This record gives sequence, structure tokens and C-alpha cells, in this order.
Amino acid sequence: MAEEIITLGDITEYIELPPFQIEDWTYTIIPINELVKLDGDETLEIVRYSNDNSEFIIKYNTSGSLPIGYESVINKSEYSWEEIENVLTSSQWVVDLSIHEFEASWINPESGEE
Amino acid sequence: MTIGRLGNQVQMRDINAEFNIRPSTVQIGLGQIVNIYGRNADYGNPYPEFPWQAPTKLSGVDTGRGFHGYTHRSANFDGVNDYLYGANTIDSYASFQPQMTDSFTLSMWVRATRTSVPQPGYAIPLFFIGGQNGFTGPFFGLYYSGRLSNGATEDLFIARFFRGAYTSGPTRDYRFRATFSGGNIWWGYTNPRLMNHILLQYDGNGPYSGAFRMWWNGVELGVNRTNNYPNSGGLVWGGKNLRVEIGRFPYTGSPAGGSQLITNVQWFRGAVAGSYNREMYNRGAGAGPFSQEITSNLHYWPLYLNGMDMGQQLGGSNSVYDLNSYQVGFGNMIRPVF
Repeated sequence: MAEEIITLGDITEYIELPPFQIEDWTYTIIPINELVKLDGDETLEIVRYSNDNSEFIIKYNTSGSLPIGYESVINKSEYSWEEIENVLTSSQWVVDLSIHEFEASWINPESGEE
Repeated sequence: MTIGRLGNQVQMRDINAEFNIRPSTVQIGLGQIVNIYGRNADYGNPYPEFPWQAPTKLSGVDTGRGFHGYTHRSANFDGVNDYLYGANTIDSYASFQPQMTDSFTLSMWVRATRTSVPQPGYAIPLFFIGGQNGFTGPFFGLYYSGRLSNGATEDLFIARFFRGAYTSGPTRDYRFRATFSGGNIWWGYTNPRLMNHILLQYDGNGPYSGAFRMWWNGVELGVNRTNNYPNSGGLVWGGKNLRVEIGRFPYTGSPAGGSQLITNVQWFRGAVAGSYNREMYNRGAGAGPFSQEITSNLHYWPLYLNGMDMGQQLGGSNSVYDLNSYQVGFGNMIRPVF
């Protein structure tokens, strides 16, 4: 496969591949001290660290292979996308988007609202 | 030929490997996309009567909450770490550096995917263009602000130009009150195929009322409040690494805050929304000032893959970005990484 050259005309083959479903992904929270056990290369992706850097989240496609070392990680917590969204609402994980709120000071006071 | 991994998942590096090119050299019409995050979503077979699979009003349904388009495929941003990012997308073409005095129209189909009350500070980054090295330079941005950090509901679309850095504040700031009749502010409709059409127009006429206008599923939204300053010479785009970003806040780098489906993003030169609203909404993405009329239904620009065959137009022109029309399209065939 690595040596195979495809042409523009072959692009249509990609289009027919099964698309990705968000339900196919699993998000896992792992303590930072377990990081050394993982070596995912192609499959491991750290998507976010907790605010105190004590934990991190990885996500992987359930139809693919697990990150190397994943099974040896102790105390890992697995979540679906819907579940991880709720986890991320906690102060431990939430990204401060209040930056857009200080925009209030940019609003012309004459607009009558603030 | 078999390409893919993780269950037929095609990734950017697969494609690059096949073409023996590095991500940084992948060309798109507008410039370059070096990384795309977000994932393709698919919700079943398209309607046979609408084989182009693009969301349109005509392919949609009246839910009692308004008329929404259906989509077959779209980019799915999970709100955790997905985003679309095209670096060096602007400076490659000096003529495509929208100034404060340049008019434009932005058309896109979106659907927030959250179905429950979101956390305080919830906002959905929709579209950003411009910026330099982390958006320290001038840029235009559009996002949805659902809740403030204190939990108060805001429920606004916010469109703005920043003449300088983000921290200096916007030169032009418009806020539109969303009108989700019967729905909730986070658009968490249960049918995943329902998409909503956003149409934003900027007239380039300076600090006057109506500089920005916005339509939501064909209905013009009322302006909640505005903030205008004189053009002062307009924006000054310079340097490199100007970009288009979708699905994250470029000034915080955070994609979090709102999960969403997005498809058929188009940028038109000129304030054409008023004239082409019907085409872009009723007849689908790609319709509008540069629509195709080979048949009555062929009028959208798919982005097949990163750097390949985007926006195939009649006559063989091959670009998402058309230099003559200042037109950008990220089509419903978008295949981001992940």
C-alpha cells in the first residue's frame, strides 16, 4: 500500500468509504502518571489535559486498535462522546471561554445595553 | 486499492503518504490546509431525489420550529478537540485579504449537537478568517454565544471585525438575537439530519447601521446591539500565516464549548445575501452568484479531500477558492482528519 500511487480519479473511492460516526469514539481519562505506559503512535492522541495537569483525555476509534499499553493502565475511565461532554463541564476540565464576555466592555454604552 | 486505518478511516497522513507530499505542501485553492480536525458525519442514505446530499430548504422539513435542511454528510466537531484550520490560506493570494471596506457574504449549514443544557460559558465557534500567528492580527469572526460564565442565557450570534489584535477589541461588532422558536438555545434538536442555514452579509460600508445582516433559515434576525468605529483605513493584512478556522476560538485555541455539525461553508465576495438568499438557502450550498445550472440540482462545490478536487466547477476549473469571485467553499464531502 505504501508504494501504491493513486490518481485524482481514485479520489472517488475515498468518498465511498464509511464516514466517521461520533458514536464510534471512546474518550478515556487517564492519570498523568500512567502516561508512560502508553505508546499509541498512530492511534494515541492526547486531546486535553485537566486544568491542574493531573489527568489527560485520549480518544480512540472503537473500530480500530487500542493505543499500545492501554490495557495496562490502571484506573482509567471510559466515556462516550455524550458522557465526556458532561465531564468537561466540571471546573476540572472546562475551558474558560469567558474571554468573549469581557467583550462587554467593547460594546458601545450608547447602545443602551450592558 | 485499500487505504485507510481504524476501520476504513482515511486520515490526512494516508493521503499525504500516497501522494508523497507533506501536509505543509498540500494545496487548496485558497492556499494551504496543513491540518484539519473534526470528523465526517454521516446519517444514512441521502434522499434519492436529492442526490447531491447537500442541505437545502427544499430537501428539508418544516418541524414547526422553522424549516430546516437535511444533510447526508457534514463535518462533525465534537467540542472536545476537533477543529478545521487552514494555515496560510490568505496570504497566498494578495487579492484575497478582505478589508474592512470590502463586502462579503458567508453562507454555511450548521447544527449544534448538544441536546442538554450546556455549561456556563458555552459558545460555539463558527467561522474565523484572517489573523496572524494565533490571531494577533486583524480578523473577522462569527460565533454563537449561548450562556455566560455566570449561567445567564445570552443566545446571540456575534459577528465582528477586529482591526488589530483580539485584545484591542473589535472595530465592528454586531450581535443578532437568535430566534429558535420552540427550540432551545443550543439547537439540540433530536433529529441529527436537520441542519440550519446561516447567512451573514457584510456590506463594507463602514460604521453605519446595517453593516452586518444575518439570516437564520431564511429569516433575517434582528440586530441586538452594535458597536461601530470608523474604518480608520480599514484592516491591514500583513505577514504570513493568515488562515481560516472553523470550530474553535482562534484567540484561545479552544475547540471546546460547543459540538456541532458544519457543512457547505461558502464565502462570497460582495454583499450578495439579499439577492441570493433564496438560492443559497432554498436550493442548496453552492447556489448563489456562481451557481451551476447544468441541471436544476447541480450547484454546490464539494471539498472531496484536502487539496484535491475541491470545488469542481463547470469547465474544469478546480478550486474551492475562485480568484475572480472571491469564493470559498468547504463542501459537504469534507473529509477531515480523525
